[in-house]
Amino acid sequence: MEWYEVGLGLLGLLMLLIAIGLPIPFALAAASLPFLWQIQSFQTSLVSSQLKLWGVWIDYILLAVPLFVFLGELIGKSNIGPNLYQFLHQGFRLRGSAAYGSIGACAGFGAVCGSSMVGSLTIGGVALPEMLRLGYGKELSSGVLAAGGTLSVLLPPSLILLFYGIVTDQSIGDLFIAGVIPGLILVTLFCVVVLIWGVMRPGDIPAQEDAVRMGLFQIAATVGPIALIGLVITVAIYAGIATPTEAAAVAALLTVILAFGVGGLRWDGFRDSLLATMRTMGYLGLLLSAGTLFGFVLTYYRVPYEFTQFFLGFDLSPYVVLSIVLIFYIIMGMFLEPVSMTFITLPTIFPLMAAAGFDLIWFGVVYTITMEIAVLTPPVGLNLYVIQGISRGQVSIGQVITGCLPFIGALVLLIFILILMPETALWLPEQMK
Amino acid sequence: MDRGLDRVIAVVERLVLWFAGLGAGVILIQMVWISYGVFTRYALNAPDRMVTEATALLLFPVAFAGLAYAMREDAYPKVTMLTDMLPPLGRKLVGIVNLTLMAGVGIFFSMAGLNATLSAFNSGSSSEILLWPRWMFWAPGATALVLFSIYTALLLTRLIRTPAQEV
Repeated sequence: MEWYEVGLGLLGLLMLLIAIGLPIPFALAAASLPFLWQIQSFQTSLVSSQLKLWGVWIDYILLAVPLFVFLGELIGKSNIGPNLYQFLHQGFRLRGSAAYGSIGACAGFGAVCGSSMVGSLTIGGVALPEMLRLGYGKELSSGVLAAGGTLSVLLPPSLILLFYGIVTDQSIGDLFIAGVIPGLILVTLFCVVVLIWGVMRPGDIPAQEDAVRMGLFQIAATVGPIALIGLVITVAIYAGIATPTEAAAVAALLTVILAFGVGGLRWDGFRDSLLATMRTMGYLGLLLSAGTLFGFVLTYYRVPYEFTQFFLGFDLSPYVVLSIVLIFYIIMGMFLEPVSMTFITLPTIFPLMAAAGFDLIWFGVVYTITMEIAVLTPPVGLNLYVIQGISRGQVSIGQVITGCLPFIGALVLLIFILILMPETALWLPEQMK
Repeated sequence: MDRGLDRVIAVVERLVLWFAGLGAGVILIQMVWISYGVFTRYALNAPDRMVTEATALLLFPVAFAGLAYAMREDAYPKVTMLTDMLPPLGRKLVGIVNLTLMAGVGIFFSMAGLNATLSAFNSGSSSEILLWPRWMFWAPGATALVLFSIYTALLLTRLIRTPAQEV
């Protein structure tokens, strides 16, 4: 079979299976197996699957995934995340402090958790009812919280950057640190969006907020745990004290202690955090295993290489190639969630980006931002449904989507900033070396 | 008969939960062991030579222990925009096709896992550093895959027996 027959056949079968509602990890495996059996006998395919499974899962870097997921779940199930929001909301006397507080809390949460959805769910769970009670506009409240979750995947640790590093064989530490400055710029851009929103639609932000102010001890108790966990992760990785996996383990252990000690975590919450981690691992377990079969079939038929050569044959400028790739991801992101997209598309796309001359650390950051646009775009925008679900019928999905639009604009603007000034992502990793 | 099937599914679901619990226990062990490894390296100046290899090997059973639990919790990402528009009978038929494919994929990986466990039983150690038998890591993974396949087959049977209007 020719590479394009395999590429189109594999993609077509995959899309068909996804369209009929087959869960994505199974669709990935079910699409790959017929092509695998073209190459190998059934018995041989069993043996090569064993080797692939063993090869992909006996990986110390990958061990960071369950540990970071567990850490995020612990913070989500304890009061550590909501407390941070209360501080950022009640600690400052500022018009719109609940909205700015949401952004700050999402950023702080992002510094210890790598999942966008958990970020939106945790901060949104406490911030959305509070913002609606205070009289904030429904579009603004839901938009700021759905978009705020995206900060979790740009600010390290980030699960998407971790998976990106595994697929493209880039340094996880470099990828994490490359996300810091763009993440901080995004926090600023989101605050600017709220500021402009307040000017254009003043009725959406109440003039007075009747929130109770906090004492110093309370402030220390709310900010301390997040600051400590974030510091352990950051210092351990970037000072070369520990690997990302070791940092994840130490930070997770510290989070257990803090969540029980000051975060109000009870046994039920601890058990739920563990089971939620296993639920995520269950789907990741099959997704990665199926992803390796998918990757093996693609590589056997040289699809990534031939696709890259074919694409470069058009002699397009690198920025045209980048634009096509980003538009492709934004469209795909309307239907697929980021982790699945990473394992389905990245093995084919990243050689193209490398051949087009882009730095793969820089592209990792741009890719992550694109994935975050994906979780905010309907019909399969995970964060949109998370926030709508939290609102218990007070906010319609249309209002969440409308509310997200200016924040999506901010994400697009950040991509432009990164294209115009690649140093935004690359400067910090270079300094650390 | 259906009540009997529901009882069997309830028993399997309890097993599924236990398996997820075991996987969760392994994550706790990894967390504590790795943290202890960092502590001994810096505080006692005595690096633990086993921790990296052993905890990485322990990831293998964790990867599959939650497979059936994710299924029970409906945690697998899927796109249902088109299937939601189908009439009840269409939804049921698509559901049967999907569960059949899921069971098929599960059986394929289960066979790979069982084969690997059997051959690992004779082949020796899990890595060049650790002399722990390799089958010890394959066996829980293979069991989780078999459990997933059985659970999916049971859900498929129940779906086939359920009237389309109730799907």
